Amino acid sequence: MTPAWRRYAPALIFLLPALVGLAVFRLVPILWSFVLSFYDWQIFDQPSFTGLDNYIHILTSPVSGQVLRNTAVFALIYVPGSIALSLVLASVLNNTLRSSTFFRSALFLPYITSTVAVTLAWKWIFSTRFGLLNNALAALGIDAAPAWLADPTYALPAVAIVSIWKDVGFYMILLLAGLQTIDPTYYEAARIDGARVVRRFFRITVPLLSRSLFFVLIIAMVRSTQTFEITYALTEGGPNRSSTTLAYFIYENAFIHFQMGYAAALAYILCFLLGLLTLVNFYFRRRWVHE
Amino acid sequence: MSELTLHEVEKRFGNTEVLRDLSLTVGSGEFASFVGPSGCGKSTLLRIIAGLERATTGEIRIDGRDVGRLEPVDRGVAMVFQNYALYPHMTVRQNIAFPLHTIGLPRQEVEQKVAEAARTLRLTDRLSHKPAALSGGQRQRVAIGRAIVRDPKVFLFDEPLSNLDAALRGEMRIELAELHARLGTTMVYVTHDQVEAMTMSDRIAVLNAGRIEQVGTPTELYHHPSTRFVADFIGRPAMNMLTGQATATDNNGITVSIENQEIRVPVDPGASPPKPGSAVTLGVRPENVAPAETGLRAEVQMVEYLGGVSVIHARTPSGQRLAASLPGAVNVARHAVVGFGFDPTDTHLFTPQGMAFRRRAVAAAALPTFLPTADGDAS
Ligand SMILES: Nc1ncnc2c1ncn2[C@@H]1O[C@H](COP(=O)(O)OP(=O)(O)OP(=O)(O)O)[C@@H](O)[C@H]1O
Ligand SMILES: [Mg+2]
Repeated sequence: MTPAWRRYAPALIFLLPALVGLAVFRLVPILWSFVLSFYDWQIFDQPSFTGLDNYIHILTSPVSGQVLRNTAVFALIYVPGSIALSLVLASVLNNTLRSSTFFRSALFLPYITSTVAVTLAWKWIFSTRFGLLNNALAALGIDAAPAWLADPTYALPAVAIVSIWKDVGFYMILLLAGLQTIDPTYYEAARIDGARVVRRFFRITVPLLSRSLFFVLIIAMVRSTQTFEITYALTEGGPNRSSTTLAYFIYENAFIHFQMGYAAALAYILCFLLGLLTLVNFYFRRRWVHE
Repeated sequence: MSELTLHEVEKRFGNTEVLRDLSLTVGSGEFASFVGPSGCGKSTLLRIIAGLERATTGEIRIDGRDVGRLEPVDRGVAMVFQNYALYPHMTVRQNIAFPLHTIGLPRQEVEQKVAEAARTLRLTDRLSHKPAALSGGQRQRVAIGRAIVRDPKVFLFDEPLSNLDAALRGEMRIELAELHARLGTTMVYVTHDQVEAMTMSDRIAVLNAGRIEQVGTPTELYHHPSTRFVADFIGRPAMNMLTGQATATDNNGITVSIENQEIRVPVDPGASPPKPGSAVTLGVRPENVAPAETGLRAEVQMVEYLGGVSVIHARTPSGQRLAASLPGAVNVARHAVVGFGFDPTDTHLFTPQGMAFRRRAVAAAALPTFLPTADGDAS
């Protein structure tokens, strides 16, 4: 054995199980689905090579156009909504309820509970006639409340609301950790300098939290394109595909229509879009993230 | 020009009493220092004056107006923090301009004021740097710049020099004193370093465990410490404290016996003179102790040579410590038993409770006087 090999061998041996797992369960499917995206493969038939047909179809068909639009709308509700809400919650928790593990846990709870179970609870909340939400609205004098899950206008926002509710605790914990690294004397200095709450928030908190915010932004964007379980349990993509987003559409193609090649191509388009967005984010990072 | 008055200020955090019955008036344009050991409540007091913390009871007045319930900015105070608290994401320019933007000053005026402050503090070529790129002394000056642009009524400093190295600290002391002379603003300065307080202040308040132990000018505190705590805290090396007994009291003072030597200390016995045989503590500053043929005998433990002076640390036969500070180098061997003497008029006397007897006459030190040169070209 050469000295270098002798040095790295133990590490390699310890890493081996993880590496094998990674290769079998990650790397192989990733490469295989890439190959697959150039084939037409109904799961029970022989695959046939079709070149770029899948991609061309996705980029030209009105259905996938609608799905991409839905995904964008969903992201536009989910990303700003969850970041704004988690930022507010984290700030409140950091300032006034600093010692309260109760609130911290309560807000984090949705993130770790079973998605399908809590989504079913939300389904009742959204229920048109007996739901908590519409009854509450009625109590406020709003009688023409929408049929949330049955109305194409509201189904997608409903999915977004549940997704935000579910994830906001996670982002909040990340931001809270960021907030707790900010030296409180900056706030005292700002008070001496005459900055009131709102100014302190935008001039001190946001810039000093920008690294955490950037991290949360990237994660929220990625997650916004991956929403599946909530859609599945709440609306099944309906009504009339109005709440079908990309991840759900992939599932539909792969495991309902068994169009494996088509689904693989969709997955690669999603991957490409995400990569592009992340690059854009990193490009703008310099403008607002303070090191 | 503003006067700051503290009236019976108290502060408790839960059950811990941090400040007790604190009253003091800082005159308009005065440079006042609070000194005291760590944890005595200096920062708490400053934060109460600033408005970052509320006093439990008591009043804080600035120019006669009760400011106890106002936000810091409405009190007209500016504060320099111990760790500077410069906003790390802003440039020097933005840091200094921050308080001006918050009060909505027009852009042009802001720029003019920032430029002026930068010139005063020699920061002009650093304006577009971030705090991380500055040296300790420069950061210090930015913090001061941020404080002076607003023309505050009262400046508050919380140990502003404690993060600097010794040489820079000395330099900044002079700069701060010059700044005070130029601006003439009322300044309240908090430090645990008695040298800073002594060198810059018009008046010093010595804090001990949340109470003011004594207030006075630097010379008053040096020559007439009213308690043993103050005597110990002011002046370096610290005052020698020798325990002994009072043997007699008459109109000229109190005679004490220290290490079997009779010394008559010229102090005012006051209302309750010590009974013969009761314990007292004699204080004498190392700079007033010199080698002597007669006097206290003590064994030399160590000599600290500091260049300008040497400090001899010795121990009396009964184990009491005695230090003598002498100009230049000294020629004495370790473990040599030598005699130390001092003039009784230079001594202080304390009760066992640590209260000082008022000293009679303090030997007027021969102050060197500088005269202008005759031909007048000294300028
Ligand atoms: N928020 C607080 N809650 C409870 N106790 C506090 C609080 N702030 C300060 N104290 C206590 O008050 C006392 C005085 O603290 P302070 O910071 O004023 O001391 P200091 O004189 O500035 O000391 P240092 O020289 O170390 O800065 C300390 O015993 C400290 O533990
Ligand atoms: Mg302090």
